[in-house]
Amino acid sequence: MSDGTAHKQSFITKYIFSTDHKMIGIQFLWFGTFWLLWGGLQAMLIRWQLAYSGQPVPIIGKLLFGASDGIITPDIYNQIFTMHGTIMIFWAVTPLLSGAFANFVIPLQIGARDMAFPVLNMFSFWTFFLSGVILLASHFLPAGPAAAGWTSYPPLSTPVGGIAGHGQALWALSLTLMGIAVIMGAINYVTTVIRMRAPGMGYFQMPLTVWGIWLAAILNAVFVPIIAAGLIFLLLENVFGTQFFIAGSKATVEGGDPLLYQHVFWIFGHPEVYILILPIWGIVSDLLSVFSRKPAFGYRVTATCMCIITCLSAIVWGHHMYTTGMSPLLGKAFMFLTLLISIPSSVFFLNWLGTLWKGSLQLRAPMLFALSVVFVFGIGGLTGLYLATVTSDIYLHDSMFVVGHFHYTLAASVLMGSYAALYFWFPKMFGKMLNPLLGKIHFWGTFIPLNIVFYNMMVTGYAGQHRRLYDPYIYEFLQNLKPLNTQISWWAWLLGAAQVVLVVNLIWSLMKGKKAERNPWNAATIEWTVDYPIPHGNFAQMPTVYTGPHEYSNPAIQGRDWISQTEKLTAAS
Amino acid sequence: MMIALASWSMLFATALFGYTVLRVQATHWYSFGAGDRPFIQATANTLILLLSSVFYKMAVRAVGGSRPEDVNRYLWGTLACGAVFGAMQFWLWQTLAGEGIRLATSISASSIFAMTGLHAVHVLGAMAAVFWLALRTRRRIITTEEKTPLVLVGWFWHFLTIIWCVFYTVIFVIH
Repeated sequence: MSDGTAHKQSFITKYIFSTDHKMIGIQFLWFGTFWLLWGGLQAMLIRWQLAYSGQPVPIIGKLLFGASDGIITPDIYNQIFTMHGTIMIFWAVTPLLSGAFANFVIPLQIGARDMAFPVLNMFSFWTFFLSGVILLASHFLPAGPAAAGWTSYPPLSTPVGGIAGHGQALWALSLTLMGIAVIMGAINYVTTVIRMRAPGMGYFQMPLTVWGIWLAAILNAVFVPIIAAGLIFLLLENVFGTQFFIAGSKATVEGGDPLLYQHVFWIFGHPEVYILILPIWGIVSDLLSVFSRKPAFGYRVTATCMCIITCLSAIVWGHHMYTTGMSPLLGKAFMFLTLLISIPSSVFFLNWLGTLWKGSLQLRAPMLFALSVVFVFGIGGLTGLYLATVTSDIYLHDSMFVVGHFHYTLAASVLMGSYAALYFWFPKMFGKMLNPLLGKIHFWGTFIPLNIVFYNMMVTGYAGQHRRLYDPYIYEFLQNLKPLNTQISWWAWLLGAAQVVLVVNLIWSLMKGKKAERNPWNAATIEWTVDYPIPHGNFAQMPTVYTGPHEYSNPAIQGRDWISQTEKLTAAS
Repeated sequence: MMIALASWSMLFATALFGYTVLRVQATHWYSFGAGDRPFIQATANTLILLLSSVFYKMAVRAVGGSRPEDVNRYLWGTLACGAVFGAMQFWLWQTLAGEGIRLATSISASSIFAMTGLHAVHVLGAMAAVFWLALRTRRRIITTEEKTPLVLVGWFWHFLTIIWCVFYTVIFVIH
């Protein structure tokens, strides 16, 4: 454990096998960004196929799919959408939120010197890295990577399913490793928050960011092992030819059960969506408060609602499986429990609006992204109600409506929230400000196309377009959707192009960006009390916490509109 | 460590859940009678693993006692039991294979191999941890303040013993 004093480190211990939570966070940041771009490129290819089915992909087509003269074949299409989903959820968003921001922010915001288990933290990153290498390698198999969808339902995902090659086995292997890495990280975060808060930092003095990440870490520690077990069994199917998930004729022999996998997958899978969104809720709650110069409205209620949702998320997985022929009673129970989630969600959503109400809004780049989360998460949440209700879900199931819905909640909310966090903490991570003008161009270039793309996906789904179709236009009733789909694709490519602005901004700001002050946003949380570069061990003197995380515009303070959590209210006045 | 054990519990609980679902639905399931060789081997293995846990408990008790050098002795005892368990497990799989029951023969066979295998892999990991502790306590005596790693690895060891008892009951005893 570090004692807070500066000490000599070699290049390898400082930048590669580092045990410093800040460096590990930055490693996760670049790792996640790489996969975000990779998965994003795959999304662009999916849109090409849906707009111009069967035509060769321009420019990069010959390079990627030389064997088919640049045309995306049905097999390749299956691989692309499978890997797009897998990568975005597990290798882009998970390392960004439960890796980069969790690592960087938790110890700084609760006033700890480092994580509880720094070496475990290092192993977490390198296990994650290894899983990424295996997944990347699977792209170069002769028969290509996994192609059974990101859910990899058996029997399609087993040798019985007829997908050639070993992509599916490597998929299960890399995902198991990724799970182990995530569990290691989660154990660290949960323990750190419980044991290492600074003096005076009670649970209800923690910033909501820490609340969100902490609850997500608890879900990770409890539910990722479930999918790990499922994946190990799936690996056995693919490598040793077992048949746990292959339906047999049950009357005569012992039969496997494909539904068993679906249950195991979604018992994990539904908490997983909250693993992804909880940190964002926390981050957005804090940022809205910082940039409205007001305390977060109903802070304790927001934190409590997040806890309630965390518990509820464990018992609603059946709503992914309404069409599997489950008993109507069970379906109703799952519907009721799922709709129950909308109550705490609405409460903290109203709290967000309460924070904004009559605030002095500062529309700086992080705030723009945080505000857009309020908007897109609102739409994502409301469209969820149609899918939670059995009657409408049976019509909408497996349609593009579902795709639009979860892109609103996961892609839009999580992506915009991650960007908000990136613009907000970049000064503390690298000591430089991101360029605000480029930030605003990036924001509008992302926000507008993103809404057009995902909203119209729901429209096509409502009109009957099934998801994962290679060429929807072989069906006569979908042919009139071709112009709309083509438009969606063009907007999607614009969305992709806007991310170039971010990459340019990152590189330019790292090299020539304006030097950041200690506290550029006048924020109250502890990480802004230390100067860049933060030494290994974080604090020269351990901080003591006197106030809550959102002390803005307190009338008792004269001369400025905020005080840090480490200041006494009386001393600052 | 408690959080880690919670994670591991979920892993084994999921395996058990899958096993239960498959077994309850099946009309035919491979089970063992009291005189069958696999049953006898598994029963012996259960006793060995229980013995190993007793040894481990005695190692922890010896810390700070009148004969602190016993810590190391009992740890090697635990390790020996673990090794015998592993060997027996391998022999058990050989016996099953000899009867024509292999990993991919049928669902019940797959379940037996997958569950015992999943457990055995963890026992190997735990043995590595105990081996590390045994080396560390070989030449020096650890004090009560230094016994945290010993206690935590112990939790994991006992946890695996408990898991084995559950698996033994559902796989080998119930029929």
